Amino acid sequence: MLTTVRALLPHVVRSSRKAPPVLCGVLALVLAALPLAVSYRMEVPYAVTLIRVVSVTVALGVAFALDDAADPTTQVTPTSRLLVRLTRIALSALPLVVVWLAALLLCRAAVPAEGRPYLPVGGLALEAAALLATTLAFAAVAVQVSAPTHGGLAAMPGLLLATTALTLLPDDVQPFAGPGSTSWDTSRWFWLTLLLGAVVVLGGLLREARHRRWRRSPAVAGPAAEELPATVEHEARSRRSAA
Amino acid sequence: MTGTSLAPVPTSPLPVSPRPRGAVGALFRIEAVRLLRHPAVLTGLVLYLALWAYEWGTGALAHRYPVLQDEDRYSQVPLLLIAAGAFIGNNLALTRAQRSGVAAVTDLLALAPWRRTLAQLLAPLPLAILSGLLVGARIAHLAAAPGAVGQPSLLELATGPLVVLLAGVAGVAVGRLTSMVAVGPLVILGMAIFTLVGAVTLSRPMLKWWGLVAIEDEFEPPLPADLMYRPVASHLVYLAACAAVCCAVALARSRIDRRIGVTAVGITAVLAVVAGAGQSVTVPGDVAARRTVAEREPSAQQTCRTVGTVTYCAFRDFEGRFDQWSTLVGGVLRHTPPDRASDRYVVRQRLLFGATTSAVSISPPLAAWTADDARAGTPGAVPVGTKWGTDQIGGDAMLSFAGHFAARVVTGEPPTEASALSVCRSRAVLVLWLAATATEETTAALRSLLPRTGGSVILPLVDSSLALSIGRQEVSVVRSLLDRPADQVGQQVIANWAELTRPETGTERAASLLGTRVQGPAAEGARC
Repeated sequence: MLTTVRALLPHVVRSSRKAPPVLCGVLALVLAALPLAVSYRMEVPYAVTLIRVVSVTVALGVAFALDDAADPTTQVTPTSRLLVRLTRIALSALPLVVVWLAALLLCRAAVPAEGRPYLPVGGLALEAAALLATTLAFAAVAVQVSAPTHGGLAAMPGLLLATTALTLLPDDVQPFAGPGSTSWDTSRWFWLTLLLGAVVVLGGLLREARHRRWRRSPAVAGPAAEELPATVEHEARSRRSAA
Repeated sequence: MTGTSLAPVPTSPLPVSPRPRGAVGALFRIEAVRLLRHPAVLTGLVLYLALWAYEWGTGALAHRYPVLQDEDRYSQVPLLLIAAGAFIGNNLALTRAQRSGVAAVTDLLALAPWRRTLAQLLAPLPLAILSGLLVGARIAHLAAAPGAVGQPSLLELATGPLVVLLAGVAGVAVGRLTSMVAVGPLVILGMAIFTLVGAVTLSRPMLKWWGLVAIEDEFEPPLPADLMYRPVASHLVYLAACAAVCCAVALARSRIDRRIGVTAVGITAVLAVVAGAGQSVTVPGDVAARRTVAEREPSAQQTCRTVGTVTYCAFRDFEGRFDQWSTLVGGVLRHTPPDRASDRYVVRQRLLFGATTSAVSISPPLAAWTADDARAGTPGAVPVGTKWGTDQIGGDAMLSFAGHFAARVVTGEPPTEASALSVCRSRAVLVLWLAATATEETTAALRSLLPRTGGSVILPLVDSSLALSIGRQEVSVVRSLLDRPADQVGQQVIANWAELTRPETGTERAASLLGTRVQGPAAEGARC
């Protein structure tokens, strides 16, 4: 499998969009470094808020991970689609996870030493993971029901709107609970459920599509497919061969 | 040869449609409908309505006692969902041609690019009107609540829909500046971070007014409308100027004459900066003077109503609170002997400025309040604040008022430092039990307060430093009493009233008189 991944990598790198993850990664690091840059001693609640903002920024970075303009041309390959797509995800997500960890260390360094033990790192990591997985799940759904290049278009606004709506929930059911508040523990269950749900959705959608016939009919193929007549023809051929 | 006839005919630089205005109108109609039907806008609308429905469904709305001059500005933040949808919808509409690979073809369209941009800039108008209707429905829904008081400000209500319009216009401007679709959501993220920073940096109140919506400190008590000061009108001007900047940028990038475009962007940007700086957060002298009078001598600005033996006085915007106060006071007096219940009592609404913002709690101007009460002919009034509700903040305020009213009945003295200190041992048990059993809401308020305080209870008078301090031992007695029917305990209270209200009676004695036992040792170093 490693050989396959090694062979896949150059093609995946070439067909991935680099600007969004790079933009988001840089933005996340800049945000996290701000308190240190102005030597502001952050209290724990502010640090938690900043890490949450960083988590959302990092999650936005993976929104375009599943966008693949070449998708219709690679439907019939010896490699499993799951492996190809996981490689795509890993390519944007792994550097962003490193960015998140670096941002966490930056925020932690801005908190006075006596407050650092009170920073709920595990709970915040769970939130970040859930946000990341949710963004990917949004993208996977969009790629499935719309066009192969529409993942990021739907996932970025989707994540932003969902996050904004969550912050507006009443205090007793607030998923972004304050550290040490009474609803902190219950809110962790929300994030765990969200993470598991997103992983299940991802698992279901990233696999080889079993019934490809209802997918990407010319009506929903989107402009990207219409642009490339060769692709449509190729798809029709593959459909015939499948039949 | 007719070569001359083949010579190129001079044409205008851009093809002109015979009726460009009609074409702009037609394009506006199509784009407006497309925006209303855009998935991002629909998601924003659904989430907005879902939050409202959740509040309604869980009954949180029915017990909120809305203050309409505060609810008007609370209506702005949920509208940010629709604003984000408008931004994304309009931004994606601008990049549609680019994404579909037909950008080159659009150059051949008869309608000039700036006219197409103009139609897109107008597209969020119907959505802004829809947002206005939603805000109107929301405030009407809250105003129809039985406990609603006050009056909403039209300018505050207009801010939310204007933000939606601004977001839609900004989406066009960003779309004209870059066709990269990832930039739009990042701009929204930036605006969200700016709003968040404005909301948490209370030490620099000006910062939030440079953002879209200015969020106030939620611990601040509600004020009568005429004592409030928010530069809402100048904020609306600022938002409109920002929208003008976005329009100028979008049109300047639509291949109009370069000089006109740069001039328009320059002028509108200067306007926006001037309008932004024009939002002054300094409270004007006349409002500050009115606030001082309202804090120290409010009786002239208040109306009073007598229900039974109790007179209630409130600021005119809060007259709706009379019913809730009299229900609570009736609940306290229900478990007192008839002679105490038939005494004359006065409840007066009080304001204390700076009580929540200053680091040290401030002491109430008791001398000024006593003099004001004497002038108004209502001596010994029990102060009640403007906070009221079943959430943590409102619940604590409700319980504090119930406690101070119960202390007034038990000690027979109006709230002073000395009378608050005399609420100890048996009196403390009695006061807290009377306060907690006054209404179901005060019982719930005590139950929600206890896990936050570690067993003891402090009931401040209108957020001031003057407070009833009830120790852990007394609180544990009250907790065991709350498990029994209130009427049964109430009969024992009335039967043993004289002994229970005597300052010397100990906590153990009070517990045995009421048929329970003291749990745990008395707190060491307690002031009683």
